Amino acid sequence: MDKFARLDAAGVVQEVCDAHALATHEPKLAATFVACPDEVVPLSTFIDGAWTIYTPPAAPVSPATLPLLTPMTLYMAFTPAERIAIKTSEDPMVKEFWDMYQLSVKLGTQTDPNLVSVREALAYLAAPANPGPGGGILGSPERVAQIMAGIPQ
Amino acid sequence: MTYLSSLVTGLAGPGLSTVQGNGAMKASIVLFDSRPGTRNFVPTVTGKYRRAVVGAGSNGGGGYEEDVATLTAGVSYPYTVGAAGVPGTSAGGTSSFNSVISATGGASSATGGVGSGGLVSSSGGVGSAGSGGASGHRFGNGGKGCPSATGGGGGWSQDGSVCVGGNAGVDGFGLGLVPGLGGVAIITTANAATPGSPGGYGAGGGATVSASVSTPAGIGGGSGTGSGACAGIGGGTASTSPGVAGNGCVIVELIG
Repeated sequence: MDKFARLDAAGVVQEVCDAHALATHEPKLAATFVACPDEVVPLSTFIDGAWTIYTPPAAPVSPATLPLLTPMTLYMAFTPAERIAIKTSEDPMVKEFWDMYQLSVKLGTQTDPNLVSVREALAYLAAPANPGPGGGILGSPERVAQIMAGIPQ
Repeated sequence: MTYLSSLVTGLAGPGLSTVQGNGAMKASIVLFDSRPGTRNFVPTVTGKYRRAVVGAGSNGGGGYEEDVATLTAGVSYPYTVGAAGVPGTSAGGTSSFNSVISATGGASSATGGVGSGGLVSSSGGVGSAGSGGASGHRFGNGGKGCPSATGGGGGWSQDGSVCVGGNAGVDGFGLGLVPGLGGVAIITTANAATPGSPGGYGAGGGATVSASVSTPAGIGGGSGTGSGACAGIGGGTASTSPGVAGNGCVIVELIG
């Protein structure tokens, strides 16, 4: 080992240095450093003779951005049975989804599958048929992912 | 605190400023190193030298230590410059010279570093969520950072206040530079801010209220809150919305 750690009163590593740097420190301060394994980093602990290596929390992984869906791509991502079920549904949530789709056709705009509102609408279509009247149009949660990716059926 | 001037003749102490006012360090400064790492200083002239070390900043400012010794031409004297820490994660690194003097870095949360082994010791200023503390210096402890969410960083002789960095007041590292005023960031519109004045030598950086923009601190100063926050050598930075803390440094001056 040629790595050394300076600890606070609670045994938490404040800094680490190598033997060359330690040799330049004045003796009283140098005596407060203890030899440590190479993997020790600040915030690791040395308590009752045992090292616990600090592991930084993993950075949140942002979901991959899905490409925009043209009106035709979105339409073809549903099966014929799903499209019929959506068009004939009396559920306000499903009717709203269909209205939104028709508006995108009318305006010639693309649908962003990354929007929370789109994700929630598709999740609603995949919800169990009982108790909601609109649920059950999509057979499984996997269909949501397929539609958001614009995979034609 | 013991002042070096009371122990060694020929050195400026409190009230005996050596500042030149021309923006340049004294020619007697033969080493000013703020790059982290361990290296050697090899004097070209045998003589009496002032040696000073400043611990690196994190949230708290780095400590300061200074002494005087005779160094021999051609001999290698090892020294270490501490690397800046990260508030909430790591303390600033210790700076040392030749196993004689050391100054620890500021802690990752609040506490300033301390000096040891020499003739003059001082502590870095306390940092807070809103800003960082200044480094210690040859005339005293560094100023505290302002705890406000829009706090200014500490200066050598003055704590930071809301939006404004603390002033230096003294030539804290004995470089011969003019002590600076605390930085202020100026709001120009309702939704945008432009940097105003940065902190001068030994002074803290400023911050703005609405956009949390900071101005950089000068050498030794702590930084304020917000984007652009950059502490000077040995200065700390805010623990929330932090910028960049300052590395430590080693100073060697030929004095006789």
